[in-house]
Amino acid sequence: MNIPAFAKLRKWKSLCLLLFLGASLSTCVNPLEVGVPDEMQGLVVNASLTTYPGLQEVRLYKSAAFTTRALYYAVTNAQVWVEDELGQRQFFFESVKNSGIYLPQNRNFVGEIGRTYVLHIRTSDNQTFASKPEKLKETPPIKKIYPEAIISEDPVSGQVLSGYKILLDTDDPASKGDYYRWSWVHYERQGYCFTFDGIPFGGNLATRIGFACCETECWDIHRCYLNCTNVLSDALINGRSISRQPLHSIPYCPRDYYIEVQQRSISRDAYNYWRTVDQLSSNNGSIFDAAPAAVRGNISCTSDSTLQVYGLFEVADIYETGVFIDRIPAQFTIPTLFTCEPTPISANPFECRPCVESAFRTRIKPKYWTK
Amino acid sequence: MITTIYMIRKLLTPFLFVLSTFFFFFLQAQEAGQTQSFTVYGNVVDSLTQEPISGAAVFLTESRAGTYTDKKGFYGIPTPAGAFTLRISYLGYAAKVIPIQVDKNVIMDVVLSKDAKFLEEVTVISSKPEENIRSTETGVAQLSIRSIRKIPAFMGEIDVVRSLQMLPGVSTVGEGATGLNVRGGSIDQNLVLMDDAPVFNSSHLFGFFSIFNPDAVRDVTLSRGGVSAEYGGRTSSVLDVKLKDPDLEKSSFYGGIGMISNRLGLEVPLIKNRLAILISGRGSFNDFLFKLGPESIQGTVANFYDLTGKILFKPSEKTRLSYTSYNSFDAFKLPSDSLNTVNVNASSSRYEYRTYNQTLRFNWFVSKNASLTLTGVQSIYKANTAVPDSSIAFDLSSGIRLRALKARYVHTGEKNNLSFGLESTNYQIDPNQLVPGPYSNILAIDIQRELARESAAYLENEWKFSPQFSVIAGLRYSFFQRLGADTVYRYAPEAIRIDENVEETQVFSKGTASKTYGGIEPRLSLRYSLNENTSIKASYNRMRQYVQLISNTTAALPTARWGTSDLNILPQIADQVSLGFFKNLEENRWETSAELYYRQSQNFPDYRDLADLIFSKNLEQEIIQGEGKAYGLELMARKNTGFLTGWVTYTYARTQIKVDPRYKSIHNYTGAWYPANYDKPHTMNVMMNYRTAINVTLSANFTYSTGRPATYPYGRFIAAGNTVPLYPNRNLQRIPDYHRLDLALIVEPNPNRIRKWKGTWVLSVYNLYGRKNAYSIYFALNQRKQTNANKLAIFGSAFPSLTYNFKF
Repeated sequence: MNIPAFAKLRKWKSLCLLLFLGASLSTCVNPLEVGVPDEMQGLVVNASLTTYPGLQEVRLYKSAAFTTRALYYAVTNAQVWVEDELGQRQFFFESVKNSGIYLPQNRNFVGEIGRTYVLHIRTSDNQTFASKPEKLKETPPIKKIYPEAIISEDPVSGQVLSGYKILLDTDDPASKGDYYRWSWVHYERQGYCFTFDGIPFGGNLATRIGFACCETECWDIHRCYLNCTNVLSDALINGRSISRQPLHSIPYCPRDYYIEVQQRSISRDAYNYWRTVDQLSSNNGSIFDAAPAAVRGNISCTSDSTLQVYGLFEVADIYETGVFIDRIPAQFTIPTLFTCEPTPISANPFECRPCVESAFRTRIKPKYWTK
Repeated sequence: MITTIYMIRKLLTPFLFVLSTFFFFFLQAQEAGQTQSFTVYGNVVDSLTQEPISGAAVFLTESRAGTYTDKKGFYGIPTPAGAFTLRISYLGYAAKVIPIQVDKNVIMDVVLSKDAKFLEEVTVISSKPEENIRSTETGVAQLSIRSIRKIPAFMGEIDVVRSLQMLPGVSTVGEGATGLNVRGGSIDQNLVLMDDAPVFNSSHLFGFFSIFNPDAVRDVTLSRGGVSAEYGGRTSSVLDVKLKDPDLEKSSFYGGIGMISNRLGLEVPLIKNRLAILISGRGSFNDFLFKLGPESIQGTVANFYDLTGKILFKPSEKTRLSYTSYNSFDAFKLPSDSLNTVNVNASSSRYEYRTYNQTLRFNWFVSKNASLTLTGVQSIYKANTAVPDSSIAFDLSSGIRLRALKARYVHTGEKNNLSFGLESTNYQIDPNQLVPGPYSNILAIDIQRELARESAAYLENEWKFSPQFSVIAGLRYSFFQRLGADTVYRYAPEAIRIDENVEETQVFSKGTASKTYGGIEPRLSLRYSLNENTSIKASYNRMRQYVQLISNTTAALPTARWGTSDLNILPQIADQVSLGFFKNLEENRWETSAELYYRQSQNFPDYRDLADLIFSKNLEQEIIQGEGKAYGLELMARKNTGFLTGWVTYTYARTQIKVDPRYKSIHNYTGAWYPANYDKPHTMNVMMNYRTAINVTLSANFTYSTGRPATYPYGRFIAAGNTVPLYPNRNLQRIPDYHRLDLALIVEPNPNRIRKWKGTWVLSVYNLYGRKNAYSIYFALNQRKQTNANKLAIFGSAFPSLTYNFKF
């Protein structure tokens, strides 16, 4: 065979490979009916006892069948109490507003470092549940929270600054077997409290045409809702500093970003629980997935061992701090990619609305808000 | 060390005594039986490849005395003196008639050449068709590379491992999964040998292709039933891949251009009929094409190459020395992924793995029917994962090195075939070593090196009591030592292995054995022929396995580590019985067989929930050893000759595992049998070759199998915003059934036209009717919506490909 023939072949081959790539990219995802029995009913306990006032709460509900729409049956009228190793009890009572949520009798009740606590539950059908004894361990302070630019590839502009990673540094104590969990809350000051939809002049589609200002100062609350199982074991870094622990990724917008971070010292059981939660919710059914596992919390039914209990009684010391993340780059060496909330400049200053308190909005100034 | 040698000697002395006594009497019997004065003997080889032809019929027409050549192509016919006509024939070859004068022992080597007229006879199996009736072994399948080339290949890549999946009793967990599951065994329960060197990962690119270069392979034998006492160390099967010997007479140059890889090979005789060399390479370097794709795949790297070399030296007719070297390399990088199990979230990880195998073999044909083979082997497998992100940068590497010495003596006779041998294997496993990058906060991890030695002696004889009845009985004794330096935990008896139950720590210094295991492995095969075309066979084996792949994913990752048995991890033991019925019809034109098997395994490995298999320093805490059972029925009908050849197989196979209820706190499903990941009850394969013209073959294969087991969640709850699925069982549901049709059109050069350059075109279509077979099933976890299962198909369309192969 002569050389041009080879060249021809090569050309043909690249074409075919492209076809192959094209074909492989058209991999498809189809919905599928699978018969999954809906028989998993168990008690789910989400309980937390910390060193910060207001964070003590026990939520009780029934687990849902997997394929049905999420319906959570709150477990009401249960007796709930926490007992320490000295026999001191703190009773929790069901919240009037939210059924299934139990709050301590003494609203200022907090856990003490070094104490060991057991959670007890007696449901209305007289089943009793208890947690393993959980010791409250001290957590080191957070040393630093800082941003790091995310540079991404944009099809038009090439390299752009598209956002920031928020990272955290802390010092791990010399002791082995320390486990951490981090969570965050972001507050965004609102310049408007209401939006108007209408048909603009000459248009025919209803669009947002106006904003009404707020009567008082107002903040939107953004919590970590998905993948909040940010845990770390000191097995790999024992005694050194934990640095550049990723907390959150935020888009680029040339405005300060306020974030509150909580660092918890948790137990080995809690660490394993969160890891299981994380792994089970990130398994995607691929052939490289690990085998399914049971979610083992630290609560069991003491009256009937066959009753399933899921969830965790998390006992943790909390170190909390809030910072403003400076999102304005020191020097603009590369183009930036804006992703900002709608600008409140056009809010109507003559028609102000109240800032309605909810899980997503508050009038109360965030704890570490200094501006 | 001294004590070790002493112990081996102590154990082996009585064994060797029995062995030598046996051999002595055996030889006596042989000598006494000989009444003829002379012998005609020699080798029968293929004119082109110089490969020995086994099963060729050799006849002295005058005396009506004849025989078949053995596996090495050797024959010997005892005869009185006189003038004879020697006739040598073999299917697909032109017969030869040679007049000979016998007045002393005559050496007559014969070269047979392929007969173009017989080309329509595509021999599916390289051994002769009646072999399945006459041989004593059960569950043995041999595929020659010639028949493997006829099977439609995915992306035109001829694949030894994929072809075996067309045989009964062989399956895989899915397309793109590494390795084979044979008769309910896991992938590491197969002993995969490439020219005697064990292969630890037989896949390229995570399992899409196999590492055997088709240009260098001669044939492939899979023993899944009665495994010879020669082999041990794995509980399921033996896959013996034999590489081609380089041509001692003339040089050739061959290669191929395909869509995935390109191949080039060379065979050159350096000294004619004495010394020759083979070099064959294959590589895929097409991943630059990912750069042309969309952003999401631009950073993808997926490359592999392998290089096979073999040197053959024949200093005399009675001795042969060969050296094989095999080197393969794979690199795989996805633009972004996270190594969840290591508890670091990385923006991109790069996986690399390589195999480096070497075999040095010396054959000495002691007499016309006895040979001695000495083999030295080194197999190295290394895997590496690298994460570049500065703060968590690390380099994770693991490796296994095996060094083995084997001696084997074979004596073939009319009534007996005797073989015995000794072998010793040393393992050095470097489980996982984590080296942090320069600015990384991760601590370095170096898990203790595992050292072990596995020794074995075996003796096997085949008695051909009568043309109807024959028996192979073999005995293998294997002895395993886990060697220091080693630090071992002792746990409370009967307690589950967790840190809290550690009673004491024992430290063993370098060279001492921290634990030894040993035992006999009987092997037995029986054959009884009801008539010339029908036989019934039965077999029993016990196999022991001391080394295993540590993996709890459905398909093993190439980076999974290997581990040996130790004080806490017991060796796996499997007992298999099988029964087969074989019948050939229309003068061997049709072969049919039915085989039943039942296999019971002790210490079958499973893992605790969320086992840390990468960094665990005490692997015994992650492994739970349960019971395993596998049983099945394999049916096969094969047409060997004619324009249309091929086979149809049906397999019913079950594999189940049970974990003791005392592991309840660390395993989500205990006390009941559950299907293994690769349990696929029904499998049907149809493979057909149709020769439309002398140089054109159309081949098709169809495969159907039950979907592999899966675990679907029964319930869910929310924790910290995550939907947590609840799995109350393991593997009790299944993904949808799998079926696929492939076609290939092979255009070979016309054999009637003699040309130096021989080009072959192969056009193949994989998954012709574009069935969207499920690769995986996953659940979209959306709190606000109804959750439905989704099926992902990655081979969801027809894949056409064109390959050009050449030779001159």
